[in-house]
Amino acid sequence: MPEDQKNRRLGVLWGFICLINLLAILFLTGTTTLTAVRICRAGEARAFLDTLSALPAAPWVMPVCAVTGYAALLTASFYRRLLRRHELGCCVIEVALCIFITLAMHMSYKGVILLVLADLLDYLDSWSKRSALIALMAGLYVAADADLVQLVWPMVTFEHFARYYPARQAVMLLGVRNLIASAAVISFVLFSMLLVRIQSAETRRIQRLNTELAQANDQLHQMAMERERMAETRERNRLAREIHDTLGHSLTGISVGLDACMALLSVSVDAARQQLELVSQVARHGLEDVRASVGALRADDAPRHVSITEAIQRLAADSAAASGAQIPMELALDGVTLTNDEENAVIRLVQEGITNALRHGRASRIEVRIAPDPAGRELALRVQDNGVGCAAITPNFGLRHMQERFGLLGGWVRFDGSNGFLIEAALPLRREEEA
Amino acid sequence: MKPRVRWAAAGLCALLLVCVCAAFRWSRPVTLTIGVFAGSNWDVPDPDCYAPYHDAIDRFRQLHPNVRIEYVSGIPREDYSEWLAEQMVLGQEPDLFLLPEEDLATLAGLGAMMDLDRMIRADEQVDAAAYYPAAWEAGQVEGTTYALPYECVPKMMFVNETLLAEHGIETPGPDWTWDDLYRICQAVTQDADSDGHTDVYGCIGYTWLDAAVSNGVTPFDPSGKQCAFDDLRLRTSIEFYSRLDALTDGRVPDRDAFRKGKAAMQPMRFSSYRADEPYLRKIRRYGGFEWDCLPMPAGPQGDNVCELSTLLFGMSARTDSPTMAWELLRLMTADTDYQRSVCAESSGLSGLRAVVRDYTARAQTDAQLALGQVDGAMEKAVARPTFRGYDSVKQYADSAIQSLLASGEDLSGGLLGLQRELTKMLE
Repeated sequence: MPEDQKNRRLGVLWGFICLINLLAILFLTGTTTLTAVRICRAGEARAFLDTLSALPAAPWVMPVCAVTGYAALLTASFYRRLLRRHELGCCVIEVALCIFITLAMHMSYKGVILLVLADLLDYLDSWSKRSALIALMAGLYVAADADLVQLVWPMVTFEHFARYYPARQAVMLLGVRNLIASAAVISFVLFSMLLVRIQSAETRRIQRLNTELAQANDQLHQMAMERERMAETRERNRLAREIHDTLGHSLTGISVGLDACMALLSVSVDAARQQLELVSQVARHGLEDVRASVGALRADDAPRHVSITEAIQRLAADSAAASGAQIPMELALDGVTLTNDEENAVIRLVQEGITNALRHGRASRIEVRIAPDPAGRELALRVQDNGVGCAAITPNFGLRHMQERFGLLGGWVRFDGSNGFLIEAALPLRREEEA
Repeated sequence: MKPRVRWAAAGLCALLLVCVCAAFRWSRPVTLTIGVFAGSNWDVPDPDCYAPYHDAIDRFRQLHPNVRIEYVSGIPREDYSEWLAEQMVLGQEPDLFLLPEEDLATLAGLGAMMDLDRMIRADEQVDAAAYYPAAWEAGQVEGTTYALPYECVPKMMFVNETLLAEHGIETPGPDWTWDDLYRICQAVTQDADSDGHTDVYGCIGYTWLDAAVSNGVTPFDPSGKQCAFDDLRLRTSIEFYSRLDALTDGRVPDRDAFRKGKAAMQPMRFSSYRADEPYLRKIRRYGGFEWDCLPMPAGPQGDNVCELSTLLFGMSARTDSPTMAWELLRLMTADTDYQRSVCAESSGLSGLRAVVRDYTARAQTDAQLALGQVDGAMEKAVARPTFRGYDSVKQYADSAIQSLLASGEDLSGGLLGLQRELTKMLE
């Protein structure tokens, strides 16, 4: 059953309880008042007093007090529903009015206690408050027993007035009273049952939501762990790349330079010494590169000491000096903004291209061109050598790293080994405000 | 508007309303209503029955000019209890009202009567010792005073002196006994026309209760919790009553036998004497014979004791002006001067010793025996028990004793049975 439909049913039942109570109050007070007047008209007041244990109040007192009290009770309840504030104040007023009405009716009718209990049960939200209310109202309901109370506090009840009539009529009056009281009790029980059903449905819904939340949390946790693992792998790959790019490049340069030295030693010791100095320079640059890589690994965003153009030029110069190959450069990087990662990727690509060209292609000329495309959307890279090339390219560690690096940054890398070896790559450029 | 301000405003409005109501209530002049009936409480004619109330109103107005006093006139004595009960059921009972003593227990039991003890203690002008004990007790239920005596009347034995003289019997003295009564009855009772039925009676209307009271025993305890039908004194009283009854042929005598001169004695309320007082002063003759009244005869274990009838004045527990009502109640029941005027005008006597003694002293000129004995009789008198249902248990006991005597069964056994039944009823 949908929520609002249940609440509507609760509202209808509540209205019914209010109506039953009004009926009870009107019936009991009306009968009492009319009977008092009738007794006096019939001249049987003295005999009537003999059957009582307390003086009856004036006939108008009970209806006026009970009806006014009931109107005030419903007003207080309505006001509280309207405001949903002053919780305790309104509850106290309602309970006080319910006691007042029950007393005004000399405990001949106790349904009002159930009415207030139903009203406040629906209203109070915490179980501790509800339990306290139930305990209080149950106590009142039990204590408001006219027969018991009469032992200590004599009063005139509905039964006294009913007994004035002949037996059959008296039974009828008491029967009607009991009928209304039973209706009030039954409607209260129905109301409570519906309330409990609504409450337990609500509890179940909350439990379901809780379970779902726990599951989502679990998934989130697993995903976080997955991400952590991925980051770890990525980092490991990067480490491998760095080692390959820096140490690999330098060691290649050193080994090529040393080969040249060995060849030169037999020809000219001076030339060999010069060559050894160059090799030493390559080794120092390699060491610097390793240091720079370690620095970059520590913090990606740490400022670079040299500009990208300078770094590429130095790289090319070192390689050219160590190998004796020609490395013409065309760099148009002014006005291009790159992040550290992107700069690293570009430098490593050039470095790897030169290393490969020297190591595998035995090239004597390596052309390097780096410039943004005419539209300014991409930075285009091209490394072409005049080496042996290769018919089928099996990407080695260096090439695969190149692709990974550029892939991570949203770019691409292409190789062609048909005419020497060609590496083409592109990196997407961000506009100035994005940078 | 903030909730706190709203609550404060609501509280202020409520306070204002209460103040307005209170101001309206206090600005109204105090009006006291008194409940009275027409005629006398003592079954004697009283042509000017409202005069004492007018007198009280005039006196009270001199003390409290701002207080209005109202009463409803024209309620006959026989309808008064019902009228008062109706006013109570409708919640309109007067602030003060005359209270027949048979209604006291019921109304006090319902909580309709104001408990006067606190007011009495605080008021030096009201002194319980100034009243005859029985008159004071008449307004008490289980030790609490709910009403004060307005008029009292003792029961006395009216004696046809002429008839006694005809039989050569001297009128007995005030401390006469059952033996005297029996002797007189024995001598007087006769079948004068020899038709087989008694036609001249010794004493009519004498009950077992009269005998018991004068033999020092009250059949019912004033609180209504115990009865004394197993008391030897009560058995002696009933036996004496039975012996007196056996002197006649058992037929119920004519109610007017005494007035017709056909009975030597009859216990009657003193008010009957007083009603005829003006006439008696001149000729002291009543239906052709001289008569007087005596205290009730004393039993072997008792004294010349009778039951005192009292008309009370009580205050409603729901009166709006208890202080003013108490002032008026005090004036009507405890003010010697006012009581003196009531005593002079009505056929009842006062509950105050001083007033009765004053009255008897002034009337002593006629040297009537009765007047000399009234004070003593009232002093010794006992009050009617004040508990709910006294009338019904008394009636039950009365009919049980009559049938016990008629059946001729063993009296002590019968009385023990009756004692058990009545104890059960009283519980």
